[in-house]
Amino acid sequence: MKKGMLMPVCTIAISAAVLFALSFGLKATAQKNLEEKRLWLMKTLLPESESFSEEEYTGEDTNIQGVYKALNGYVIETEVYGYAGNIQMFIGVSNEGTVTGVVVNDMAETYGLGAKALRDHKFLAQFLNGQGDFVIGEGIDAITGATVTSKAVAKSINSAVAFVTGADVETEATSWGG
Amino acid sequence: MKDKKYFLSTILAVELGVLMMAAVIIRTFVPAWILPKAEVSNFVLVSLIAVFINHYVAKETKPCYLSAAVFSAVSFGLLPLAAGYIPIEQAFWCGCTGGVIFTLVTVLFSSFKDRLSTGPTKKMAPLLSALGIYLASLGFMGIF
Repeated sequence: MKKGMLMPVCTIAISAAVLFALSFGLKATAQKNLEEKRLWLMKTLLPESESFSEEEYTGEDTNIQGVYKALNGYVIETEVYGYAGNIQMFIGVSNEGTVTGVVVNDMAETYGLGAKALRDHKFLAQFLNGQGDFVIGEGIDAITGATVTSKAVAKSINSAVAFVTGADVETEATSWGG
Repeated sequence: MKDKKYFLSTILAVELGVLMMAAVIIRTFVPAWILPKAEVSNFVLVSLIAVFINHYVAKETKPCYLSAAVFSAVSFGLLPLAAGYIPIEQAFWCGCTGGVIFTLVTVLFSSFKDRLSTGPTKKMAPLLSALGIYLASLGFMGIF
């Protein structure tokens, strides 16, 4: 091996060792902070809730990734493919089937377009206090330039409401296109 | 220094190391942040930053493309894995994709920069080349 190659080899090896040690050392703290953030998020999405218990989801709706039950409703974790990747969301739904809160937790949508779904309060607020069956273009305005992302968000929320109300997930309420 | 042709691989490893370290810290202390995914357009951006810095550090020395391909593949596969940024089953894909993209970006940047390095805007050539390649990569990603 040429002498000059030692520098990149050593840099990669040292970087990998440092990263591994850092990642391993902070793992417990990261897990604790993640759980705290998740609980705070769920309490915000479902007002007046105190504690949540995770329930096993045995239904057929592949959009639903997790179910967290509180006394006054549920927080549903969903994952739907958007334009550039999966959109992971948490949706608060009361026992009556009313949407109480919506947040996009993770996504890989296009910057400046689909990624607006993260912070476009005007778009997300359209779903609040609704009872499902959301259709983009019919009472719900899409994010400009991000119709596919908007439809994916609507689809996630429809799935969450359908879970709580017991609606058929194969109906128009949750089929592709919101 | 006579071995400036290996600088590029070192710069990439340092850059990725710093980025991954920042990612570990953000993931731990600010879990609400959505970190960028390990995907083609981000690989292009990271590669462009490395070749841009290398342009000023190594001056006119041409990098060794073969070693750049190998070292970048190892860097893109190993460092995110060590940071827990990607799962082990994704490391091979990241390494191969990152290696190919980095080599392509290095060749394209060098070629574009040489073409643009004439006339009064000569000093802007590296920046314009990097910007052009990044925008092209975003357009390319939009096809899929």
